[in-house]
Amino acid sequence: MPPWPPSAEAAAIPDSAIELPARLDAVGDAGDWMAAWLAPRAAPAETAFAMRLCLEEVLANIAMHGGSGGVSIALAEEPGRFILSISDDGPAFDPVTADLPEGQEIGGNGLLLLRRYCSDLVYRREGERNRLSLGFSVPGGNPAPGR
Amino acid sequence: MKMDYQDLPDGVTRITLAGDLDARGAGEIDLQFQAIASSRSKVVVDLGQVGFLASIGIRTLIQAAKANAGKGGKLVLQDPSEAVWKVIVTCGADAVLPMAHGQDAALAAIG
Repeated sequence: MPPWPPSAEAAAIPDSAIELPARLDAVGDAGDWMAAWLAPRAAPAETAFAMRLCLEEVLANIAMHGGSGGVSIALAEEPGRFILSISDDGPAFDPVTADLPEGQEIGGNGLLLLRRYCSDLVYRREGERNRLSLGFSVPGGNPAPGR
Repeated sequence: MKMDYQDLPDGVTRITLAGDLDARGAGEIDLQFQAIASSRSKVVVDLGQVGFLASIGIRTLIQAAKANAGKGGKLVLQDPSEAVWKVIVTCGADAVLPMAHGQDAALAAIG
């Protein structure tokens, strides 16, 4: 139970950025963090689903093919859209231009879902890091832009 | 993620999943799910209480479906939510994961 009297400081407002290990067992924690960040922003269910799916697919791919360092994840909002930024120190991999593997391979499905479920996808290689920026348009605009 | 199963008449096994079939959920049920699904030939997987599905969960389902097909059996998904259905169709995985609405339709699809 939080201390009495209640204060704004005591409320658990999640940070807009986190660092996680590049492991499959950390993917769930990232999803929980994103859900907590999105909750007060009243994102439509469809947008929240798409964002979680893309986060999951990118992190699962990094966990399987990525480097040994951590993964940095950040969330931001602009009028009418949310932006998810993910960076890691794995080998260069551009999901925007990568060929889709043939058949029902996990990597192929993940890549396909990633491309279909975000509104825009930008990849940059900066030094030794992959930097991915994913935009998600909110139908009708997000309720509280510029928070 | 929770998983229950029940052997029905006519050699059909019904597996009920509840929760999110993401990396965490798939990791929790994968071993038991594969063990049960691959030891039967006719399997209905009830997805009615599954709110989220990612590619790792699709892999779990496809792996079981292939094991069933290898034995001349079949695996049918019952009652996926619209969001879960859309993920499966977007991947083209509906070609190997037939879906049905309601138990009667699922059992009919199993044949």
